Amino acid sequence: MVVPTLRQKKRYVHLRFECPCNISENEAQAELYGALLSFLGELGFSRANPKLVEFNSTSKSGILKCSNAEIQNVKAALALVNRVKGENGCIRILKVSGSVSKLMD
Amino acid sequence: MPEYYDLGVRFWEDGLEKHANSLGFKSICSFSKEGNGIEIRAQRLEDLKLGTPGKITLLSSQNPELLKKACRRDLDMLLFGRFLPDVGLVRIAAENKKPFEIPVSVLLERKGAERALLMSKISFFLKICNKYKADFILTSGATNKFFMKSPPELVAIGEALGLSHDQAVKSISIIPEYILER
Repeated sequence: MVVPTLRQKKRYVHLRFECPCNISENEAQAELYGALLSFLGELGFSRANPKLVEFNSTSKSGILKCSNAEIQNVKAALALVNRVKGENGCIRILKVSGSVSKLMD
Repeated sequence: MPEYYDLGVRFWEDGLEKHANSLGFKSICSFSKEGNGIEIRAQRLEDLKLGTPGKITLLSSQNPELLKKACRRDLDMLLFGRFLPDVGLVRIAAENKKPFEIPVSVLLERKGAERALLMSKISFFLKICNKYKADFILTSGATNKFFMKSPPELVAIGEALGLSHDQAVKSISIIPEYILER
């Protein structure tokens, strides 16, 4: 168990895939990790420590957890996505919050 | 809370302004036939025919000498596609209060090393703009709806290009507002 003060500060990003195709949770995770890895590199990716917490394939929206310190870089990486599953599309950031419950409000 | 503007949309379709409002923009400028802006692409001084009054005029050129001369003419924004650190151009633009457009779409169109090198060029160009107090505007440069970015996304990209948070916010709020009021 880590002491609360030593725990990494995190942020939750509510995002939505805007593309004509259907997308499953695994595909969404691959797209997100691919985008983050290509923009941030391996070192930046490890610092951002992203994790797809939740994904709804019907609404194509999900929640990505990442480090608070790297939130701006994560937002930039997701904003620079212009293809999803090989088709024109983008990842729209809807809201950023420190807790999952607030994202759902 | 500031009001945000995207002064670099490159297409037009029905409901575009509504879509921009839903993203968080108060207003946009579209460089298309139906839009409220005119983009002039010029390579030589003879090509330079300045636009219609009442519309926002953007001069896009790869030639820094032409852009320097155009700074003294009646236009609203400059786009230097090569993003070379031409100090002379930046100083003249700062003296004449002509902002540079920084379209994010140029990054979206590239991948990998090409994108990284362009980011480095833009980053250094912005550093020089800050040093000589030249204005710049971050725009989406969108050619379709997927390329349109929300204000927080533009700010995040601005910060990735080396701007401070305040500089990035100013470049999509105060400076575009000044151009629209001019």
